Amino acid sequence: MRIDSRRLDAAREGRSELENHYIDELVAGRLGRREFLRRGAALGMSAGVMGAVLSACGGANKTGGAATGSSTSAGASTTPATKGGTMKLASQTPSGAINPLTVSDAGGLCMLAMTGEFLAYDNNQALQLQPMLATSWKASAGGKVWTFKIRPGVKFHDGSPLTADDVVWTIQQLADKKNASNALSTFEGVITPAGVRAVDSHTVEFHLEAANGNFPYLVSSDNYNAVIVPKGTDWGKWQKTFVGTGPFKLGSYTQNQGASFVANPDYWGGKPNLDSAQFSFYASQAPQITALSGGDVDVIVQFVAQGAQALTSGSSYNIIKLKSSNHRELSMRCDQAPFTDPRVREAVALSLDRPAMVSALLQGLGQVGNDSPFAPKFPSTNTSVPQRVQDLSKAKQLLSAAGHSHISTTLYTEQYEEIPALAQVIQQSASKIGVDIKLKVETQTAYYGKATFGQSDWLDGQMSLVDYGDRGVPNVFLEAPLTSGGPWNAAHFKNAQYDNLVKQYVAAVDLSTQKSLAGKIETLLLAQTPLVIPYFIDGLCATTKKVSGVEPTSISQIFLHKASISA
Amino acid sequence: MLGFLAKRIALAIVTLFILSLIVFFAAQVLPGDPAREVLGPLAAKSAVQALDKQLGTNRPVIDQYGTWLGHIVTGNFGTSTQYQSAIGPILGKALVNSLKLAALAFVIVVPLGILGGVVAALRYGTRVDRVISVFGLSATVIPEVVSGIILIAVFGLWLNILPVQATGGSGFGGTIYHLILPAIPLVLILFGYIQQMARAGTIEALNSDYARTATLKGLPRRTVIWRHILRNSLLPTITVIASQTGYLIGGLVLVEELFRWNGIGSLLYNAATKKDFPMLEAGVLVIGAAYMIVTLLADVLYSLLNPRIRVAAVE
Amino acid sequence: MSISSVPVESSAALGAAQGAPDLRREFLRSLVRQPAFMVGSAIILFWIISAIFGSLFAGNPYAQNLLSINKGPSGAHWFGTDQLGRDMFARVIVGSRDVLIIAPLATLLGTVCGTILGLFMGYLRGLFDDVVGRIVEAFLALPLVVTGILGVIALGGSNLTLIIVIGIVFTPLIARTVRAAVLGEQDLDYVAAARLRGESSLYIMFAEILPNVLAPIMVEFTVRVGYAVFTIVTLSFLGFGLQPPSPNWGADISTNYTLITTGYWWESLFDALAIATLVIGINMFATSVESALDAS
Repeated sequence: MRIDSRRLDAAREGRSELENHYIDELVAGRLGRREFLRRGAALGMSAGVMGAVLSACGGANKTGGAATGSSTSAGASTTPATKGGTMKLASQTPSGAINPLTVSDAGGLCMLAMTGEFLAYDNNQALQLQPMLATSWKASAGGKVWTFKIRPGVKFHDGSPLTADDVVWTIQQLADKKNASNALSTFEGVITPAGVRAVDSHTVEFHLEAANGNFPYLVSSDNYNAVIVPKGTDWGKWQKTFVGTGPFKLGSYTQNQGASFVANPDYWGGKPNLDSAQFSFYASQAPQITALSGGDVDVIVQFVAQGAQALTSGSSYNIIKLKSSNHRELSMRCDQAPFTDPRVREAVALSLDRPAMVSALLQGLGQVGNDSPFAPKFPSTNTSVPQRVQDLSKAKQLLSAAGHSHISTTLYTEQYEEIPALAQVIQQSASKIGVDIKLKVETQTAYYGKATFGQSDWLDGQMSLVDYGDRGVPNVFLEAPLTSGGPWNAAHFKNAQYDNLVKQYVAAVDLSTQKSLAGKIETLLLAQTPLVIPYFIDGLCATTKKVSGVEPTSISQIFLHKASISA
Repeated sequence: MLGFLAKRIALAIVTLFILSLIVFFAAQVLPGDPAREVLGPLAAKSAVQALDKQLGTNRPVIDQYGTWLGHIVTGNFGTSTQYQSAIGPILGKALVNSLKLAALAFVIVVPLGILGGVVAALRYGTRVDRVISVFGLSATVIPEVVSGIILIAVFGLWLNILPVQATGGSGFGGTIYHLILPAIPLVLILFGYIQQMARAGTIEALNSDYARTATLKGLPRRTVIWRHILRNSLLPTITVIASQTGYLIGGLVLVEELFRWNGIGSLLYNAATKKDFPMLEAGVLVIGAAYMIVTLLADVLYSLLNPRIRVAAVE
Repeated sequence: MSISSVPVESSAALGAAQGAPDLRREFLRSLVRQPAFMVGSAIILFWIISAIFGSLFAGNPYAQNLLSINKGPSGAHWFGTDQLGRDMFARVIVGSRDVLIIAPLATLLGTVCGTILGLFMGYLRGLFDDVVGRIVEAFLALPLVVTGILGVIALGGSNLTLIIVIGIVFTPLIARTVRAAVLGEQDLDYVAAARLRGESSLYIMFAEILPNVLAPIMVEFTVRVGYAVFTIVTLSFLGFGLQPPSPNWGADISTNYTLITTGYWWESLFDALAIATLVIGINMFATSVESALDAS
């Protein structure tokens, strides 16, 4: 059976856990076609979806991919793209300078990816990384050394050719502790500048600090700072030129207002369909929706479900849903009574009605979480570990077994997206089992504080609810907030067995080893419950019906090389 | 007159200096540091230190203030920590946007307010007077959020005749069309002040000797009102308009937030939350300076229009 | 903000008129004769009752129902439900509580500080007046948002913070009014007499002058309570202030107003109307007190 993973992924978009499970079984050959159709129909899967799945698995039906409706990958469109035209896009206002070294916000990283490119591309719609500025990569020394072949014939927007030197310089800068590099939070402990070496003019070797099976993700579009720039670039002045290698070049950039980009005729992948792309910046979401419905823009690069009912209900727009590992973590201080007892932590986790939360807080545009960072989107996630469901009587039993009839505590959190509402839902749920939570909802500045232990409500609060944006691999989620020495370990969780499992997981290169270790980690986290992860939030992008071929990512980048707009 | 002007300007400069000190010291108690605001909460500690060094925000606060003051004296607003670029152009653009909104509000409210005041005064003590005055005073205390929400619901949602976003209009007409709804909350607040002042001025003028003499001389009532009363009732109105300019320029943040308008209000709000100290200082100083210039202009105008009270009454 | 210039000069000369019992009776009589006073008092009384007993007749403002979110007004939920399925009617009614606690306390704080400052400025004059006068002027040029944001970020969001921040904002305003009133008293005989008796400055300021400038201070206080509500709403809207889940008009508007364009107008409109009625009620009360003082 030949499997078209791209079309299969498209068909998977928006499917439930169980539906995807059946698709897995079908792909693995454990489920016959007829049985798949029968079970799928029982679950309410549409014939179109099932047809798309079967055709992706069999390669028989050529038009099947289109049957999945508005939520499919727009990039898979088969109609010939319209050439020319300007696409107007709405994005979040970049909160500061567009400096590849320092950018940390959605609006800013969207700008970086407009002209800049990465070694590899994680487009969220395929299971595997795609080549970008690197044509291939391979691991050696058990995952300790990675060799990347750099694409020949690529030119920067200033005319200079891309060589291994540029790649080495860029990554060295990003990994240098002396620099104000935002990528350090990813690279620290993984690679140092000395480990980045050019082998020849188009080959780069990365000698890692420790074996890492998923290193290519760390130099892909997931690590949004890692756009390759010419050697010797003045980072602070980059926002004047936006020099990269991408399909679009800078037209103009105006702080707080917008930016325009024009097609790069010399692009290595061929000239893009669009003549130009025009961005307008918005401080919040509601006006972006108004602008889309008023025809002022064609695309909203990223939006959240809350308050976007005008877009998600009805079918006037194409909504591109992206599975994402974007999530919220409720941590409980494992070193402070009453949360020293894992039974108390588990009781809190059992008090939540997750499906209801997904439907109310995310309008159903999300996946239920199982208190581990293994999001459904990660290939390595082990789905055989049972899902935790609400069980109030068991929760009460656990509390009384731990010797508590009533608990009072304080939950610190931030004003960000739906988080204040989530905090209130948690508060109400916990009150049903006798856990009385006082809320402290703070501005992000006050909540994060100095972001070090002892000077941060985020890290010091007895209960703390924080957001984590999407990552291509779970490594950061597994390490920083959960390992004994983790800098973001708000739960103050210290477990040698866990640390060891994570170390093995990070080093594992093949998927089946990763998957079996993931199962052990998931089980351990369920038993210990240092944190509650109630759900994962789908990435959402909206376009008018005129737009096709846009490739948004769940961290608010948007790749427009194949995009087109009809008149 | 010149001496008076010089004294006023000197006092204004002293006040601005004190203002800069207040903001400067208040900003020091804010939690977090500028570099972390740029790099995000999850940034590595070494990166934050490196950026703080680069921005100069790791130096002693007095040093930072000295550098900033040195720049300001030479007319240089310095560099924003948040945008890593010169403050002048960013601030200028925001200021122009805010002025557009404020100007529209003034163009609407000044004639309306004076008209309301004169009509109320001419009908002094009647129901018309009471209704206009109660409406004016009530409108004064209604927060812009409240009137804004009601306006959006009524005109934007139910009647669907006015755009609910300030941005999006192009050209002169389009810009004004989009700014009508945002201007109304400001108009409502200012109306009460101007109307009350115009009313008080008119009543005083009506009872004045020259108005009575003019009426006795047999001049038509309309002429008396236009020639004598209106001019005299304008005096206190000018002062109140001036004092409200400070509010208009500085207090726009709510309207700008509600109707999405990139003005000085939202710029200041961001600067304060992002700990962008040079931007915050520059913005506050510009607003403070505008406030003082307008107050000074009003005083000068006042004494020019009313030579009897020149200078002496001003201080 | 717009708090800076309420006309108060009409009340500045009233100081001497107070005190005699028949004047007080005259004052009360002219007060109740005004319809504005009766309407204003009724509105304020309504909100005070709501604040105290609201949850008894309006229901529980905290109870969530995730299965019934964003529902429009109906028989079961007169004002609809919010994003967590809570009853908006209960939230609007009980939402008056924090506002009615913070507004008077904050105004009181500002009035006390402002009065003390104004007394010193007006009585001592000279260098003290010049220096403090400049500082007061500088504070007046500072936009409310900046003071508010700095204060709340520094102190953290809580009722106490709002009281302090609003108190700080009001202090220079009230100081200016009191200073003007004190300057008017300075040259009167009783001050000179007290000086001749050799009374201390503090005694003259607080025991002699203060009672005589109480009237404008009281007018200023009642007017400022309205602006305190204004300021609380403004700061809560900007995300500074009261903590969820406690029902709060400004914070609820801030959470829900983006949904107006989606069509969920009831989640913020009723809060807006509640604020409007309260500030108008306070304003009617204040202006009728002022004109009754004028008349008596």
